[in-house]
Amino acid sequence: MTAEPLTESMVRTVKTSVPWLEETPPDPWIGTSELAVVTPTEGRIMTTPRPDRLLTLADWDALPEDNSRRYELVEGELHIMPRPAINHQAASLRIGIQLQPQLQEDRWLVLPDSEVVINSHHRPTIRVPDLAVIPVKPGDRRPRFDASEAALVLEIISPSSVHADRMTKYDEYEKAGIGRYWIINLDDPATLTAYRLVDGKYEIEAAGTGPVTIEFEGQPLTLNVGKLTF
Amino acid sequence: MNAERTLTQAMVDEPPLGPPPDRRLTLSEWNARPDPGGRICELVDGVFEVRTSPSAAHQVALVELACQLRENQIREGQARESRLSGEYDGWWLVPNATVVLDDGPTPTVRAPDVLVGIGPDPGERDVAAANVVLAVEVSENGSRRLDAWTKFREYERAVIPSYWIAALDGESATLTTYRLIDGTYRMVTTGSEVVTVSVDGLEFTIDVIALVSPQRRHANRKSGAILTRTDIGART
Repeated sequence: MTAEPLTESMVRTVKTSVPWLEETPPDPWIGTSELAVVTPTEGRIMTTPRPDRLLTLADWDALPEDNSRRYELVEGELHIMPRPAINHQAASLRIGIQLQPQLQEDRWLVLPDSEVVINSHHRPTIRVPDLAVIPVKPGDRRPRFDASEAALVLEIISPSSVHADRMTKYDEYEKAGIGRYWIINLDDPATLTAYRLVDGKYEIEAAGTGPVTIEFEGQPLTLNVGKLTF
Repeated sequence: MNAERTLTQAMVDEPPLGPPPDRRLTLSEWNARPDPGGRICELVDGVFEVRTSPSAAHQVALVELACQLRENQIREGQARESRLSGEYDGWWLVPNATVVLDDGPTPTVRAPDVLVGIGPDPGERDVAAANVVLAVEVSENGSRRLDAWTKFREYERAVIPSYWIAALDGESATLTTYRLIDGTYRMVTTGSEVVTVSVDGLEFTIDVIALVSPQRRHANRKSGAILTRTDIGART
């Protein structure tokens, strides 16, 4: 199938008034200023695109920048998710601060919210794990990295009934051959479940609510899970 | 339908659906959603998702499968009615209806390709998982993980007794059926020609070839092959 890439002109620009949105303000379907990106020059809002066909990697690259949402590409479908909550982002930063000093800075990068290509072919999948550990390439300016490069990916889940990270992403990271997958659950008490790929399957390597240590590239790597929440 | 269709302004989301909500939704917020204008919407862990429209091949297979299911329902319903010598409630069958799989704080509501249930017809709202006996997904190359992994687990958790996946692969198709045994789906049958499987004590026979072959569909309709496959009288 050939298809034009998404272009800027395909992104609808609308005036701030959306009639059905204005009846009951606390409704999530409303709040236009929070729901859309305001372009400062024209004082108009740009709605987030929701294309009605499967996207290619080129389409993905052509998507307009939108920091109001989180985007992932799942088997060619654009998934638009809310931005993570404050406690989630705080935990993510705290994990990064704990992990990076323990890893050789000239060898390993701890990356927040970066794109990893799970599948680049027909119906591509791009995920954005909360944290990823990849080898340093001097001056790396690529927009994303391939799953084969990732030594570890980490997802923070909250609240307790969220299944995607434990089911879908687990399967994707496993099949993509990512050596380690860590799942942090922020429900009190916060827990870490660390999986390691053994013969193509994830097995629990360590788990706990306090300091959890694994061996990573011949060195101990510890995350104190008790210090992530507030 | 033009397979070479390109993205135009009209294909980019129209108001009133507007931009996606900026947080996870509750069930009551989901119920207050605006008319999606023909798009299929789902709620996954509270995240509002708008599905990409399926391909023509997917829709052809879906209609064919729904027709065959209906034929089976009628035939088997009659058989059961005569067995029970009373009125049989009958089954309903509905394509693309939404079913609540998890009504917790971050709810999940899916729209399976076909839902089969027993009892009164589903109303305007989402179908309750407890009323569903069978969920069916027509899976295209590339959406396999969603159907075979994600939804598989979701339907399993929601205790839907049977789950079928019809996987299309160009000229051929494979129907794999699962039944819930002690809380986990176990494969019952799989086949690419004619598959016979029982759901809630009723025997279903599905011509899988007809999902992808117009010639086969034509031949079946002409001979009434599927409808008369089982001799109703012999079963009573």
